[in-house]
Amino acid sequence: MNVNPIKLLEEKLEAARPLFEKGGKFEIFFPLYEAKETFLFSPATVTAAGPHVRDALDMKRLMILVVVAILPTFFAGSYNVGLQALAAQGLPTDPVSCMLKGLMATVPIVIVSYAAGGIWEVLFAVVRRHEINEGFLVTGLLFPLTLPPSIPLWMVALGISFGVVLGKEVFGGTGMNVLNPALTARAFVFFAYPAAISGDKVWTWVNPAKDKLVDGYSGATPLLVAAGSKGPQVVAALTDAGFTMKQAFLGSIPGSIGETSTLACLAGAYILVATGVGSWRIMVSCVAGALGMAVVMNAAAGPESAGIMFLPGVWHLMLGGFMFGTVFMATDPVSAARTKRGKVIYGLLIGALVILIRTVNPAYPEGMMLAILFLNILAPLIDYAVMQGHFAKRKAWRGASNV
Amino acid sequence: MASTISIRRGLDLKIAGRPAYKIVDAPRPARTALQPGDFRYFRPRLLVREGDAVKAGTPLLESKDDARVVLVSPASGTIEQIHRGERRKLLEIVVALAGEDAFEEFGALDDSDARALTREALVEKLLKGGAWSLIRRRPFACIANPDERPQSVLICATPQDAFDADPDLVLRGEEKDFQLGLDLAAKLTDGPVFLAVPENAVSPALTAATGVRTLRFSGPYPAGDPAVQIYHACPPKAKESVWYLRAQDLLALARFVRTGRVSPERVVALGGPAATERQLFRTRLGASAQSLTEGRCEPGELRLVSGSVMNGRKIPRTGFIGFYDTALFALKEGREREFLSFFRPGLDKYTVSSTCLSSFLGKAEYALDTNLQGSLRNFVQSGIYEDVCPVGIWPDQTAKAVMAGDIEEMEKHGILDCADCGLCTFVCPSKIEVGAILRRGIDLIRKEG
Repeated sequence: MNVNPIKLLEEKLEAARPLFEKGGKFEIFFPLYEAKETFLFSPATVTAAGPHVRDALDMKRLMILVVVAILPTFFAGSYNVGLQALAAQGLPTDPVSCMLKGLMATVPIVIVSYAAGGIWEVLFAVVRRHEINEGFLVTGLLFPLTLPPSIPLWMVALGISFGVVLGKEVFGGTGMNVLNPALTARAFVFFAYPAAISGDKVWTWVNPAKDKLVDGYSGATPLLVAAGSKGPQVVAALTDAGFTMKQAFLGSIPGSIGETSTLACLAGAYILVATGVGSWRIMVSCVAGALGMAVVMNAAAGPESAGIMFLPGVWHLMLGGFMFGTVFMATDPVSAARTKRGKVIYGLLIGALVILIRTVNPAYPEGMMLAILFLNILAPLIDYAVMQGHFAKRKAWRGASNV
Repeated sequence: MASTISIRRGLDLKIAGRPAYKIVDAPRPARTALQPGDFRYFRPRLLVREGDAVKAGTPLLESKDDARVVLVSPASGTIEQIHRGERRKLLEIVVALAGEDAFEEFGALDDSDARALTREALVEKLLKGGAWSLIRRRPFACIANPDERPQSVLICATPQDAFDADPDLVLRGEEKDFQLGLDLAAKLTDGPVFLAVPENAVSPALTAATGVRTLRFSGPYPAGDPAVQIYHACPPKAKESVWYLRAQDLLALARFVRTGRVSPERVVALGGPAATERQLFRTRLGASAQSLTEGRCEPGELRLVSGSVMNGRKIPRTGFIGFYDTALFALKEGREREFLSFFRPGLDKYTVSSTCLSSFLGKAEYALDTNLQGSLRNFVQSGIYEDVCPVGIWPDQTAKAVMAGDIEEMEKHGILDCADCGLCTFVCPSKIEVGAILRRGIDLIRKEG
């Protein structure tokens, strides 16, 4: 007999529906049922009133596109994790070994992030009786990519729990949060367990106690090297430490899992901008803000200043989490400024603030996370100011109009 | 001299089912109806009972706020049914047509007498005969207040969208009555009368009209909407109003003044992906949808929309065409489910965004159905709403002001300019009824203001 398995699945799901609807046995799990069912089949809901037709874009497609845009950084990052670990031990670094080794480190971190965060998502959806929001597919993937590969898995679970619950759900869930949940999660780990996420020991996936490391292995990130050097010869210092601009661009440098490859971030940026899902205004203004601030800092640097003060802006763009943060974190539509002009101001300020933190704050060699979180908080204020301008313009136009 | 106004923001509706550019006579409908819901903020007092015999022009309803404003029967016959909804809200007064039309007589005037009417006499005549309800005002898109003097009057002689009856075709041969209408409209205001026509209008009724300022409108939907035209040509100043009539309504008003009888002829377009015989039909005001759709639509579960598919009213198969509407749109109810929909490249999906492959291939038309295309979520995406808003509002920010109940903020956002075009709701990926939220805000201002 010829049975269409997809049709059968649809019928089975439909048959189970009464169990989950009001008065059903598993009523409280309706969000779970809804999530699974609408994941498999687009909803049969029709419009109640005009407009009677609707645009084909929904949150599922939107969020899946973001996930697709993130994937290049995941794979490039995993490869690099393997490369760094094998190179540190003096083992052969053929592409297959690098990729396998890297995935062994990154896949468990991503799985733990999705699982631990997912449990909270479902719990809140069930208790508060709303649907499970697709935004978590993005948060759950972004957060692990901002971590060093050596992060203990329990910290991943704790971090994403903090991010989901205190970064998002306490505000009322997706769309209501002030801060970017993935960055909130990272900030929690960063301040609660600084030893696991900063310094020069965490960025390579090796166990110094067990693994035999090659001579001269340092493990420091380029930003650490630049911050530690003195005077205008900062680029030479980076080259001495083995970091070329090409490496920084392709991503074969130590760093957080997903943040190292500028190329992969640009690939993601291309997908986000081409599909209109990510704001090009924020990305462009972030870069402009950083380049501008770098010029100012270069000019302000004296002969005794730290090397990072002399670092050209182009290097700043390729080091640390700048590009990853610019493309995937700053553009989070919920926590960013909502107005168009606001987005430009927001991006410029992020870019400028990152460079400021990197150059003049000795405590943190990297400033992307803090800059974005700070601007998340300022975003409503920026929008408020932009809106006042909009009101004034409308009022003036009204006064002058009439053909 | 006609000046051209191009509307930049909006949306080219790439929906299949445009009607052919010709008019045929539709069979006489067996029933017509008056639907109080067509008149915003109109609080009706019922003047007839089921079974009553009425003539065309017999008052059926009067306004509880101003008894001079009456709504009259569009046909002669008997009141077959008075249909009420929840909380006894009046929905429809159905008139079963009987024989030849019998008319209430309100006094015929020859052309020069009509033009010699004073403003007061004209207003009184229109109120008596129920033709006053053809005149609407902005803000609020409700029947004009007879005690008010509008800042200006706009006559909208553009089709609402590509599926609407185009006045440029409908008005051919009606030059005299249409010009009389324009002259009468000029009496209503101390300001100018604007005539909004399609960019490429050729009908002499439009191109040779005198005593008005002709504006040619071009641009995507909703450049043909009177609210959008008023916003761009003559937005009402604070505390002022602009009155407007659509072309066929002005024609009916002029005929009423000339003949002293209600003028129920209307030309209505039948279109949409589920309509099989798509063209313009000469029919009657408030005609039953069935008189047009019978045998001219696909079988299966259909949605009928009176007015534009973007902001018209859903009517049942047995429903009636709305008072101000000149289009009937038929499309399939979209209850089909698609397996792993969001993983598909989306070659056959219509989106304003660039998130489907179709966005890059530029298909001309899509046979859309009523599927919501997703499920309800919180507001997330921003900036896409103002890209389609024809009246320069930031709909998502304005909606937030409405949800906060902040009237002052709503007004600063320009909520009263909202044309109710439906585009912000159309594009919302969270499937939020943004337009309905704005309308709630406008209702609140109306109530409190």
